[in-house]
Amino acid sequence: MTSIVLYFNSAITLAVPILLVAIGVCYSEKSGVYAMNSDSSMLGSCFISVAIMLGTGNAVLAILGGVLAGGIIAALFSIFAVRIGANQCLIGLAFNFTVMGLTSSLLRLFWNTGGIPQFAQPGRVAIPLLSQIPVIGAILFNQPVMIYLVYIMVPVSWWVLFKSTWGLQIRAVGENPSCADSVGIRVIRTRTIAVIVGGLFSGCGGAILAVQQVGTFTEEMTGARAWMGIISAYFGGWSPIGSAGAALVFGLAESLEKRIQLLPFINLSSYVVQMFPYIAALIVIVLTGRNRRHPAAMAKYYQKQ
Amino acid sequence: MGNDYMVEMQHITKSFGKLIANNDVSLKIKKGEIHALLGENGAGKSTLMNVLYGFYGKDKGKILWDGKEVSIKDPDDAIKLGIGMIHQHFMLVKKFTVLENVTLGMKEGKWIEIPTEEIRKRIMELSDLYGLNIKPDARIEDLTVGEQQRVEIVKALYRHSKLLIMDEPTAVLTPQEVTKLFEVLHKLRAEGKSVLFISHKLPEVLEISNSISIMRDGCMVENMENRPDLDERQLANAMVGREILLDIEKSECKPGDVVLKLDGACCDGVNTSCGVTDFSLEVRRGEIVGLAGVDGNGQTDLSELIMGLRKQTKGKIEFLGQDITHLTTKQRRELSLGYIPADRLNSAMVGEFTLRMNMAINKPDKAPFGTKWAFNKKSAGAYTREKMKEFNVIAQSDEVPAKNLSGGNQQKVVLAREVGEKVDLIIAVYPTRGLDIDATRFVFDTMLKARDKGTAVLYISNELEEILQLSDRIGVLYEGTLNGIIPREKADVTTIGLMMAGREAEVIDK
Amino acid sequence: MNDTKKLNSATVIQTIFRLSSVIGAIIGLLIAALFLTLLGINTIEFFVELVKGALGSPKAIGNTLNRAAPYMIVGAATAIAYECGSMNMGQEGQVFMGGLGAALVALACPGLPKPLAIPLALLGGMLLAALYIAIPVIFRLYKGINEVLTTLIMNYVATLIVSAMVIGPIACTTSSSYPRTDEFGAAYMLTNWRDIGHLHTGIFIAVAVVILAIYFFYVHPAGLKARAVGFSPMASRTAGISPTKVFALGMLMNGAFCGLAGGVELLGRYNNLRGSYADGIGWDSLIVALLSGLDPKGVLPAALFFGGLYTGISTLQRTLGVPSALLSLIKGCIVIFVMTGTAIQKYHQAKLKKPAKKEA
Repeated sequence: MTSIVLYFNSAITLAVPILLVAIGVCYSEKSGVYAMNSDSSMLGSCFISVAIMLGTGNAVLAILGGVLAGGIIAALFSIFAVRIGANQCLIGLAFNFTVMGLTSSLLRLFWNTGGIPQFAQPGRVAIPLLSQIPVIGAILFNQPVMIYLVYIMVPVSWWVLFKSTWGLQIRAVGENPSCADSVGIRVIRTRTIAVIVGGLFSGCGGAILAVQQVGTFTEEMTGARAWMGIISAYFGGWSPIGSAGAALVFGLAESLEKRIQLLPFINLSSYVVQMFPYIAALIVIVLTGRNRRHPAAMAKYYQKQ
Repeated sequence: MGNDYMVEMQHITKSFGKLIANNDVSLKIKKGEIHALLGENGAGKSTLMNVLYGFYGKDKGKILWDGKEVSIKDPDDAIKLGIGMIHQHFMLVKKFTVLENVTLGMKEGKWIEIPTEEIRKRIMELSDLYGLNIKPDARIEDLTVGEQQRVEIVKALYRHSKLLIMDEPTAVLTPQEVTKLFEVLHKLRAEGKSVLFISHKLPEVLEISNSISIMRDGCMVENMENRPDLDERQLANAMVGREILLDIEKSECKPGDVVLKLDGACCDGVNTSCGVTDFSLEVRRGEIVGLAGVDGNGQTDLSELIMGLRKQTKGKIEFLGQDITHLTTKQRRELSLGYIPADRLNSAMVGEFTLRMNMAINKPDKAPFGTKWAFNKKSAGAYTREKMKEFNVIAQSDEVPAKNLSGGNQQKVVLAREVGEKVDLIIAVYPTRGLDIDATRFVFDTMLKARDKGTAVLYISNELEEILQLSDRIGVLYEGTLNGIIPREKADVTTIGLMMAGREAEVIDK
Repeated sequence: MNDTKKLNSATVIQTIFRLSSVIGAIIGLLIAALFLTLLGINTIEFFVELVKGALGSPKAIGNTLNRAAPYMIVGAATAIAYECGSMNMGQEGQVFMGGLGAALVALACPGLPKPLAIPLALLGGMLLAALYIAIPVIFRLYKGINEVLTTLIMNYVATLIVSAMVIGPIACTTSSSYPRTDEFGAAYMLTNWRDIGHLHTGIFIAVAVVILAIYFFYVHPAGLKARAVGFSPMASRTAGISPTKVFALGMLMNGAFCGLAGGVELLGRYNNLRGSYADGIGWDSLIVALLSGLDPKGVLPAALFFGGLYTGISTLQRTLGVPSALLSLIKGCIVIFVMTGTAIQKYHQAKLKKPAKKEA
């Protein structure tokens, strides 16, 4: 029984970085910008947060630093993707290469072949009453502290995007930027801010991944998580709540990947096991209904006369 | 201090590069007046409006609002002053509700919850006061065009607009909806609001406006009060600067055998369009069949169905006796017909392609454009230049990108491609949209010449005057069906207008 | 007088943007050099050793050309596919699948004579890669899902499949120090010249592919139709062209040629299949396609440039201690500046050109 609870518990922990990216993607893509900076924001944040952690030993500072790094990378991305109007997918790819190259080079130059030593990761904190609830309590409320913040971020983000005036403006800019402009909304500024917010969330995901889950920095450590975040958002119709569902699927797949070798009767090659999250991704994509349409003005450059 | 004028634009000049769109233009609008701004396409009306609304910055000149000089740098400034704009292509987010569209642009706080109750109340108040009949929670994409326009009006009034600018507001309305709009305008005027009304429809301008300003080639040429003795001819001449013939000489119609036959044809709509239902029509050699109708009643659906760009769900289409219902677009292209679609730059031409390549695009592997294995730039270029001369296309060469040309010249290129060689059928959809009088004339001449040579012409347009001038028989498109077809002699604006609104032709024809 | 002056500056600026690829490449290199200076490595030394590593000896030239060959094949195919309106980001995985396909043929039919063996193996690679890209194509056609995401994910899966196969079903039957398959027969090796750094015949295949691409794009009428789809799917439909057909064929062609490149790389350089043998070829080729301005005519110089870059940086690892990840950094910067140049050309040149259209 405990191993099943452990399975689901760790699924949630593993899903969180992906979910954070997905929330960020909701902001960015609702405003009409492909969130192709997600991976570079995440990876850059991993690096910065680990560096800060090694330097100060303070996990909170490290995570804040990572969040900021994600936001700065997103700000740079928005200059090219929104202000100048370059192809968003390709600029995103370019940022990926740049950040990968930068972080890997710095890693190699400063830590040589030894890599960064692993540091102690923050442990779990059980919420007093809630964690006592049978099964559900053990799964949901016995998590590292930062995960609880994410529980709050999902409904809050949903409210911001769909109930607040600012959220309305973001969505208007994504659907019909000319209309938004005609009522005095600054399209480029709104999109830039949405992208930066997206980057902050991706950065948070990266920081939590590095500081809380892995405990060190390795080359290209984000793997395909950022893409899974994007797929989660797509599946969830760019709503934070829908995205949470898809992100959970990815968490379940990754948790399975880590545990399936322990089962005595399973003898799969480690490579096949590593495929689980990607197969999950393809399944999520297939299950996504055909009526998922991006905001009408997706990736269309907007320019004032 | 009493000031008669709501807004005064003085000596406005605005250029785009070498092009002077507004040249020392002045305009004065009184409080509580309906002021019409007339001019051809390309005269500079929209530019002037965009300067007033803050979309463009002016190069020279002053704007006075209620007697005081003001600076309008973006729509925000204009809205703050009390200027509201209702664009020709509505600035509404289709997926949002009326309430959400009205809420957009409100400055009160970014993080607060949208105060829906308050907004809803005020919308209902305005709706009742001006007879707009608006439901706040309706989704824009579910509303009719007339209703959407009224949402735009509510938007402007919500922000306490004192001056409403309306850009070609009647282009998308049936004659009956136009009457309803005019009632609303009268109410606005009664409440002391001013309306600036851009149009090229002379009868409407004469009916509704108190003052008329006329622009031509970037300059303001006339400013006058609307007098009972003013007539269309005088306005038209001022617009164009010379005596123009509003009537066309047409020879007698001698219809031959049937070229195009639709028999109970149906297709589904795409996005919000209505599709085509049970359409039966015959178009014969040597005749022009005009299909009138308000925009959005199936014009594109019908033409695309005939060209094979839509999946036909029922019925038959025959071309020169041959059943083409199951032919692909490519195969229909090989028939002897020419197709001039509505959306010129997007549907008929590839903007980035040269004129030469655009001429070849239907059949790049056939003479004179090329062979199965190679595209022949030289012969394609020679053919293009020949046609450019024949159709009077003004461009630097056949190697310029199509998007560099003016609308009129682009349309001429499309005509050269589609009807440059003799064809048996022409399908034209809104062929004169956005063209100035000269280019429009050219299109008319081309259609008539083809008709006189024995081509069958199906002319689909929302400009009633054009249909009345050109057609031998007139039908009406209503919600994707053919709502009656009558010979030209029996047609007049009222009859057609009623048919456009859905009434049966027989009921009217007493 | 004023008029001609304005015209000249406009032409100058236009030319600058046409050269945005070259400028992008230069800026990328300069940023890398700057980065290295901050870490104590001399810029001049960097460039000198880079060029030496790329072209300094027959061995180096051979390596450069060998590396450039798959870049040319995939670059030309990608350039055309992008111009047809598709956006395949899965070159990396498709190249791997190509190698797998070629290996499968080589292992299944060991006794074939050379004139039959190599074409068959390459064909096997093309087929497998085309099948692999067919999956994202189907997703796009039937579910409307953008191929960017799907092809990206398939990249990860492809490398895992190859690795899994190499230690599983087609693993080496003898003992080996690293995971690999059995060796292929001698007939399956592309002819190479040992003295020129093992330069193999793949380069000729590559040049042939580029010439074919240029012919298709600029001469064949189908090329005109394909470009029409890339610019305006709506106008293409009116002209009787089917955008879905062009998209699907473009993607499949792209995948197939990635497979060809994978097979060429495998048979030209190795006599067995091992995991990660073609790392980075797909990505580098995508950048080559962008550098070429999505134009087959530009693929040759772009591929040679990148081949030299790769070879040069690899040797720099030994001579100056420069991390190979630096290539990633350079790649990223190059793409950023090339795409910026394209965007400025598209959207911001309006201020410089004189508009021929009147706005009403």
